[in-house]
Amino acid sequence: MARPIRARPTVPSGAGTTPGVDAIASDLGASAESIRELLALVRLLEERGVLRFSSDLLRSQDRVIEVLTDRIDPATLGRSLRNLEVLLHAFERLDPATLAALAGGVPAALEEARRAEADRPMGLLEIATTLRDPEVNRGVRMMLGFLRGIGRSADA
Amino acid sequence: MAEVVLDGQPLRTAGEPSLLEFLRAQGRGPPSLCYHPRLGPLQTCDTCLVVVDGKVVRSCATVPADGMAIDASSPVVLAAQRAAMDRVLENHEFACTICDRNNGDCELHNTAIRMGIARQAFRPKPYPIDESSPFYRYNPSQCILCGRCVEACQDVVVNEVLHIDWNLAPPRVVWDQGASIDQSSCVSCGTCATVCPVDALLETSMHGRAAHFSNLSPATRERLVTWTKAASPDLGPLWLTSELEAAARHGSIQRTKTVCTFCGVGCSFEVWSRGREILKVLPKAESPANGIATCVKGKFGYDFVNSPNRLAEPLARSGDRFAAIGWDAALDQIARRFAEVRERYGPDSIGVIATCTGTNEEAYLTQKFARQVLGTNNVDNCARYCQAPATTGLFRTVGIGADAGTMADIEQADLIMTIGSNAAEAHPVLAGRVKRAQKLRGTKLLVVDPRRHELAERADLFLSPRPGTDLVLLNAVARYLVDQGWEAREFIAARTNGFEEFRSRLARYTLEFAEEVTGLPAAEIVRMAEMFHAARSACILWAMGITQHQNGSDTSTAICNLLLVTGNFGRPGTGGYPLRGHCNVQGASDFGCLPGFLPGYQKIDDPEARARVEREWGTPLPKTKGLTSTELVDAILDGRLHALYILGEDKLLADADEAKVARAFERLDLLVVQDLFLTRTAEFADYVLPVAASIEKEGTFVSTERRIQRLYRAFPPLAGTRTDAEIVQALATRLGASWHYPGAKEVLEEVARVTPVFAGANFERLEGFRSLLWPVRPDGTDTPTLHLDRFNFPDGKARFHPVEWAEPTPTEPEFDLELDNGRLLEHFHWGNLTYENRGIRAKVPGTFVEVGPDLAGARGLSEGDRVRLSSEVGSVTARVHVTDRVRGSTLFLTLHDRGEAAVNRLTRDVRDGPTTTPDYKGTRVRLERLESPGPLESPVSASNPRGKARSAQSGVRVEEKWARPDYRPPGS
Repeated sequence: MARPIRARPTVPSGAGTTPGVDAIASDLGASAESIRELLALVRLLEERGVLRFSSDLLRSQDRVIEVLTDRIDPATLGRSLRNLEVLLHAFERLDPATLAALAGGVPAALEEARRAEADRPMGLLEIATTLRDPEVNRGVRMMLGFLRGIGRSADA
Repeated sequence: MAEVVLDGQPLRTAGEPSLLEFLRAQGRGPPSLCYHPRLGPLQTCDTCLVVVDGKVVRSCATVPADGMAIDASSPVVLAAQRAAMDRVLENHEFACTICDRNNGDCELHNTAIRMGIARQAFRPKPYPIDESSPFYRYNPSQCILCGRCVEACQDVVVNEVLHIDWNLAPPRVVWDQGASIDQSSCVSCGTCATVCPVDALLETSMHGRAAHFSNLSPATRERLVTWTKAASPDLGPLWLTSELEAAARHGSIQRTKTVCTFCGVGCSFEVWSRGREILKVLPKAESPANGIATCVKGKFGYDFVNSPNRLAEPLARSGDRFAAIGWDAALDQIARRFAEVRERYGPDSIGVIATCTGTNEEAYLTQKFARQVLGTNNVDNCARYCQAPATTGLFRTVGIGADAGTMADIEQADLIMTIGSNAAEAHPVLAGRVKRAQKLRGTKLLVVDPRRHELAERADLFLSPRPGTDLVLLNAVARYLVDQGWEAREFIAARTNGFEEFRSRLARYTLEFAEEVTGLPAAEIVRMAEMFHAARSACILWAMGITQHQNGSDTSTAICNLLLVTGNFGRPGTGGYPLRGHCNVQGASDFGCLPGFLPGYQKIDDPEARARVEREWGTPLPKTKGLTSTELVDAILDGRLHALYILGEDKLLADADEAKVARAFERLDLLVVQDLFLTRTAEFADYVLPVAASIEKEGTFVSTERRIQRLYRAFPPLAGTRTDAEIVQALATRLGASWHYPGAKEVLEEVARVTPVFAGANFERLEGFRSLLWPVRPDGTDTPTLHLDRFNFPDGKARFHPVEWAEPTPTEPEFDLELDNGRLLEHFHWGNLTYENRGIRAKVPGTFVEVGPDLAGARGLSEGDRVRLSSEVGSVTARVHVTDRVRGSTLFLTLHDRGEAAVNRLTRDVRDGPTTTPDYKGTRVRLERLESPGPLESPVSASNPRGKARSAQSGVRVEEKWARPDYRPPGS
């Protein structure tokens, strides 16, 4: 005679664990190495104070936003954002190969500049003689072309 | 098709209904915000403008025609589109990075980016957010007034609550005459939120949960938005950050296609989830059965999946308590005890009840387990309680026991008749299509029912015969039609047999006889016949109000006879449609969980079918026809049945005469129940096995249309639970079977090999939102409408099957009231799933008994009174709801109770002869008023939509917008 049972069991089975916990334990075992790595990262975040800071930021989300919006001048930020946008558009139009060549020359130019700084002052004749150096001459021509382009854009 | 010139290029259209669709097909789609493929042109946003033959027009509302010269890209066109878009943007403040709709599919956001919009001139509206509903919220300040929600509410689901008040300054969406959402007539179907292109109408489950940073206080949100706009009036940075934010969400929000777990209409949708958290249910335009529509249960009713009340470990009876037990121990013990019972009493001493909410593949495995492993045909499913008599009626007359066509057929009929069906509550999405046909196409609606439910209110003719006399009405109408010479002579001659005998057997059913038995005036019966005569095509929809009677099979047959005599089978827009009540009750039967049928309705004694199955399974099949679900109870009580395995069925509450079923359960040697919750049936079990919900499973369902659809796993089963398929396979293995099914896909492949009607069904052909309507040929061709060429009999002809009416089994005179009973919209059966939803509980906290005003007056009953209803077999107590939905001596008790008001404490175990389906609807009771301990409270919540007046109108009434003084016509 099987009478109805209304109550669900209050004591979980299986050595005090529920199946949900069993499943999590199984997942933990399968990911042991990853979890150890994760714990190391968590310890590091704790040691450096990042963990607490992040938690506090999240707990105080509304207040933090209030402070940010109070303290940061939107007009200044707006100008910065717009300038950033202008620069990005300018970069869009640059030929990557030309830019690469120019950027590649920067370290050599800096080295030359460092060396030239140690030399004695130059006279006019020496400057004119230096201009005949093909590398210097090419650099000056490029600079003049660059200035011409800027000037044309300013007119437009 | 039309020859047009698009931007100077000659092109031919492909029959697109509008220029907008044509332009989209060319990859040239102009912007459009109010247009939705399931709604058609609303003409409210004016963004889809093009120039045709020199004139600015809305492309959504312009039909392509020969010779049209279309300018879709000139500066004039782009400027007109941009001007319209700017006006739209006055209504919506972009704050996309903290918007819960910013999931990559916000149509306004995407359109603005595509059009290169960099600025907006937003004008806040002076209306508060309406958060009164537990299911969705409306934010007028984000509403672009596109009217999609209104069109969906008024003309798709036809719940007729929403409209835009164009005379307000500024206009806004309004519920009824200005009520809050929760106090309106809104039935919470959620279709408005589904079609909203922005976040103005948003599911509560999404609010503050979808976006990373949307859960802000209103003040903080306002501060952040103001600050952001001041920092960058240009929207460029917002587009960038919001796109990044939306992209990041894709990493955590999963979208999974599934099929609804509640009724049998077969609504499909995406479930959006993050981990196990369900964010929303989103039906899609391509959802084949429902399109964008849902009901409150399908859209918002999935809370049960994460309920803390779900079972999550196997339980074993230990004296007078349950003890948790590990899976291996449970399965070992159950298998051993099944084997012991089989050894001692034989295989037919065991019965199996298959679940109607599991997949087809699980149903197939369940019947295979019964037949191959246990060795018995004692396998049945809950179709026994509902549509088995309808199946019988269809088998007798047209040879296939399933819906004759699809909802598309129903929609295109001239006449739709519903009989014994409260479809607006039990099959709401299907009912929406009936209401839409009536509202938009002028389809005639004829309703026969004891209750004045929603479809009855809307009917062109509503008849309410005495309970149990529908057969007389149907035969009388058939006779009148024949007497007038209105029968479909050509159809009858060419496609049917047995008409002359049928005609002669109608002799008794005169108008006078029908008037006397049904209580209906002869003039109304004649009017019903005239409606059939006037209709070029007709469909009849029926449900439990017909089948759950002693003559359920015969009345179902009478329905089919009436359809045959009027030529309404075997053509588009015709046929008989029993409406299935569980998500996969159709599939459970189709896939063989019936005592007399193998999968695909192959008779158990058909030698060819037996050979096919035996070859596949490698074992002989049991020969004796099995017992039905109701007969199993008898077999327990008379000592023939000793073990019962019940999957997902609360049989104690589902069978008639609860006390009898309880006595039977107490006598069993072994009862194994697997379910989501500790149901009333599970309380009697020796073992209770916790199972996965449908959205945690892969497989297929079959809907009431015979539509096979795939469901995908949204997230893994709750820890500790297993799928029905896994459990059945584990038991089969322990009992010696060697089954090897890697997944549901392989099960369906086996089904296709042994079942001709599923020969061409496979997972590939059902991928995503694709579906197949059986029979499916090996090449994948399916059958939306049955019987077009032949009926399923050897000579291809349908058969008239004469049926006679007999008086129902009498009851003692003291039981003087008829007890109708059935579902409410919000709940599903005993509420095991739906009472887990806070919003649904708020709308409908419990059951009640409806009493008509006349009876209430005569018995001195008031709203909220407690009454006891007693029948020959038991009694219940419930609160009174006085309503004119019922009248005279008819009561209506909702069936959503598991205790003191459980309806089957009252129903007698009297059955329909051919099917053994109980006569639930033939119950008679006595009513006593009880003293109420406190002040009377209505059992119907104040936020319940019942009794609140709907606000019907046609569409969004854009003409009223165009008449506003501030409206600027396109291109101006």
